[in-house]
Amino acid sequence: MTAPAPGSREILQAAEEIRLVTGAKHGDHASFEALVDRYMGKAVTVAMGYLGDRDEAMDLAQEAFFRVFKTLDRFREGEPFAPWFYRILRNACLNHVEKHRKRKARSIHASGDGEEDRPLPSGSLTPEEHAEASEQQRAFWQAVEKLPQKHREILMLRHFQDLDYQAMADVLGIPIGTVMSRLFHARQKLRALMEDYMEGNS
Amino acid sequence: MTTLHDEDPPLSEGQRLLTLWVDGALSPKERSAFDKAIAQDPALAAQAAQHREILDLSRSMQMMEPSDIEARRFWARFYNRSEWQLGWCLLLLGAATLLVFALWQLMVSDLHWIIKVGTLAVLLGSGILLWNSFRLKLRASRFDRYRGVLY
Repeated sequence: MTAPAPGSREILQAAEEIRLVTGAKHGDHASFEALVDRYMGKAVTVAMGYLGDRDEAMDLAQEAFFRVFKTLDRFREGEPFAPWFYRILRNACLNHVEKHRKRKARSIHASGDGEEDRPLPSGSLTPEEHAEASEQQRAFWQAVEKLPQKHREILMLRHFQDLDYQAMADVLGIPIGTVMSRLFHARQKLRALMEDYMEGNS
Repeated sequence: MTTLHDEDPPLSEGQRLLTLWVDGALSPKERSAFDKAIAQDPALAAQAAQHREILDLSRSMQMMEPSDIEARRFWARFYNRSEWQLGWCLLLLGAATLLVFALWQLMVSDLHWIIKVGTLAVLLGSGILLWNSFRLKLRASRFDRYRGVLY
């Protein structure tokens, strides 16, 4: 099993990230803000995978960044930032899900499946492209929300954050074999849930 | 109910290789062998294509980048939070100190009993409300299971 060799762009990005993390750790607010800008979209997308609601995802992303801000002095320099950050984000999301599980269950029960009002990411598309993309995105997120939590999170980490197996194992605290098994079954289930949509668009 | 700890069945060797293939994590030699296996097995080829399709579809989704307004709101609230926490601590501490002192002064003063009762009620009411706010914050913090989990 090998990991693809990083290109020069990835190396530059990694070097820039180390510079930002080091700067932020030493109290440079500009570095911290640049770090947040770099991770914000990804963090909201991952949180969306846990929570299924964009506003809550924004709040939890902020919570995670706030915890990073308060505890950055405990971050071990030389370690990759992404797994550390996603562990904090995951903990914040799981905590939130646990606290609001009953309330959410009641609200979903009261309003059907609650999918129609899901806001979609904005972009610079034509109205036709936007309609098509919206339909695709809605179908995708509806399917993701039906997955068990362990499958949602592994897909978010792999497909959206591009973490490698070792980093995912570190974030989730599970062996690499379990990472691969979850990933395989998550893809199987997501494909099955999107069967109708994908067949209809093929 | 499925939980985080319900494990999936372990992968067969074929499924393991398929996962590695989809993620581009096979060595050139393994990849070549797997490509040959796909060419000879239509079922495996279909499964590999489906997994690839899901990966490609996910990656075609737009990241949920915040709008300018959301970003401005984010930063406004972000720095407010630190100040808000410090402010609440100082406010509660100061209020509790003043409350105790005021109660003591009330007891030893020569004011009419009606004023004493009214002032006492106001002070106690304020104290209860402040304590209630503090207890809610304390409770929320205590039940945060992951508050200390960073590594």
